[in-house]
Amino acid sequence: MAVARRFTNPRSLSIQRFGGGLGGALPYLLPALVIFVLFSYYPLLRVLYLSFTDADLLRPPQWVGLENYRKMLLSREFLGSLGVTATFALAVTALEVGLGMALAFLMQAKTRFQSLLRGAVFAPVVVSTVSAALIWQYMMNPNGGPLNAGLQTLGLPPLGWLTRPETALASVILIAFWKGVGLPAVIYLAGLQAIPKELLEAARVDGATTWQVARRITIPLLAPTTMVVLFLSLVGTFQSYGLILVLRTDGGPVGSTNLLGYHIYQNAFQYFQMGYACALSVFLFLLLAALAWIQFRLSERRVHYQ
Amino acid sequence: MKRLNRWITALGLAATLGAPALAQSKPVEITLMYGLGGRLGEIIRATIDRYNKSQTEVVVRGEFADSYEGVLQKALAGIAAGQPAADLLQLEVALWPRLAAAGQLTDLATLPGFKAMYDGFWPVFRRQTDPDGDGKVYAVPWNNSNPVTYYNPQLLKKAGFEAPPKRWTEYREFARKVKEATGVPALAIPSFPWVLEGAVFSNDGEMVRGGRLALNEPAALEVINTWTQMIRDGSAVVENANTTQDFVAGKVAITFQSVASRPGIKALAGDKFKSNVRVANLPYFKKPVVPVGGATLAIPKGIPQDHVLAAWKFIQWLNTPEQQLAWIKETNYVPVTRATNDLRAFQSYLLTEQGLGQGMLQLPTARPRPADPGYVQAIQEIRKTLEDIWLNNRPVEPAINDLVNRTQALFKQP
Repeated sequence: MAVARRFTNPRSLSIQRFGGGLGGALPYLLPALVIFVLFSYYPLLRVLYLSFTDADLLRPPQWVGLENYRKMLLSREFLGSLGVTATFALAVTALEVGLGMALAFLMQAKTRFQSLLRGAVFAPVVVSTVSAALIWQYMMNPNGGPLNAGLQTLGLPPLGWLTRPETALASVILIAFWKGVGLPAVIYLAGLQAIPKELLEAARVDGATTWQVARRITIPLLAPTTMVVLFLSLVGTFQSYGLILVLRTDGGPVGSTNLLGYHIYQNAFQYFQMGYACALSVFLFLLLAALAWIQFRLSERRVHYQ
Repeated sequence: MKRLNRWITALGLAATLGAPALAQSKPVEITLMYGLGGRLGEIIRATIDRYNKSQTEVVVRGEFADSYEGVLQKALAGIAAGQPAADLLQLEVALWPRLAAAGQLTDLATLPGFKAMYDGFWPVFRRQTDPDGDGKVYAVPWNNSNPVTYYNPQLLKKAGFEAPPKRWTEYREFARKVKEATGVPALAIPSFPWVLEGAVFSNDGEMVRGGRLALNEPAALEVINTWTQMIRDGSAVVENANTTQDFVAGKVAITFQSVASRPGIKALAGDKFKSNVRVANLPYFKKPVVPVGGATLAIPKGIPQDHVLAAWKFIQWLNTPEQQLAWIKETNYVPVTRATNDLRAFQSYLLTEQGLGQGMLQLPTARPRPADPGYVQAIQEIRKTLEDIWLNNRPVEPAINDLVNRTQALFKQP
């Protein structure tokens, strides 16, 4: 107890020995603070500044006020890209939350295949995005790829997958889900393992079925985990662009896979419109900040902690 | 004392022997940033090694930037940071004009021996790298190509054809017969407008005219309508990321790709290359025209003068006929200098396989791609519109008019 008191007593901490308060903490914080300011906050502020300029990285930027934002709001490409991104983010997140949780239940069940299942679910996470793209390009080849061969065996018509506007986004969603679901599943597994066993046992003793235990106890107690998964998944999907780059859809066909991250990349590095790309980035940042705020507000009201 | 004397003697000897070595200047180390990966990347690295072993004044270090866009991305970051990303940049033909217009590239015409080297390039490459004709040259050709027709003679034979037609106007009937006889689409048409440029130019049309896209003019509309009809009747498909594999697997009879795609197609086809792959000219409407593609070499501004000169020496070495020949044998790019064409070894090489010389044969009809800075972005809009027409059945004329109108602002940029 005495040891615990010593470590929890602020007076005994070495900060106090440096005079206490911010001045005392500063020497400890400074290295991290310098790195944060240089590599996180300064670029953020720089992006904000550039979003009000005509920066193209070739000439000194000139101030254009809100022109980039006006252009953004009037741009058909931007609005289309926003719709594509929202669809992509919501679909992938819903799949990752729903099926990630389901997979965690399966991974927790003590069976002969437990290790195999855990490995199989997590393996795509460690596969490089380039490899994943190549695998799926082969799988989704509309001209006799394995997926279409499977469909035809079942008597179904072949699909265009990545080559048709009506199926391209769904195909990318499927690939992103396959590539990413391992992480939420593992987070959910950790959440499941943290649930006190006595609660579950008590419910079973009271005659609750497996479904009732899951619905009334496990899933509500997983609410904090769900909030983490939701947040990580939404942020990750809204920022996605690498998959589009390596799948070589170039945002198409007909803009159907033009995710906002890719749209920003194109404007910045292919179209020489860094100022406009910065305005798009600021918009994306504000959008994610708003989503995070809504999530945290919801979690304050709805999330049940132990 | 004896020991001290020995030390002094040894030091004196070392100084005497080492002096000439110290007097020799150290080699200048420069970086070439390139955007070609895979087999072509390996060939570039081997070329650099060969150069480094061939002389002692310059050491070239290769830096792979993933793609042409990657080179541009790093070049832009270097410009923004006030520190050039490399001493030598491999810039795609459509990308260098914007950097040059912003004053970020060295005028190569001011460098020693420029005229002698530049006069040796084929006229099309001189027009491409000096579009204004003002004598200022910011990039010189290196890995240049043009598109050709790769066809599967076995599939064509089933439909009674020995080779594909020379003209686009004959293609519709031809494509229908091939589809009927083989059950596979006759051709894959790319939405990336490189082949479109050739077809439009060959129909006496232009891609850009008067500060806007000219795709709504009759010449271009005829091209797009011809292609659209073939796609809509199922005898043609839209090119996608799997097209090369499909072509090699006999799932499409014709693909239009760069002459430099040949090594990749050959590797994929393996033993079947000789029997299943042939090369023919790019089809045309009124007269044969092919657009030039590939990349150029440029030296950014802001690097030390000794690095500029070292990079220039390397460029000159790359463009010697012998090095060009070595490069072409591996990559099948076209020779950029006339002297390479005159080499007996080159002429003998062309005879070793069918179609090797097709890119070369098309050079007299080659034309530079549009150099307007806004065209880089317009390319993406053209792709989207063509895909919209071909995959969403959007009517051609309204879609093209909309494309021309919405891209007009791009051509007013500085």
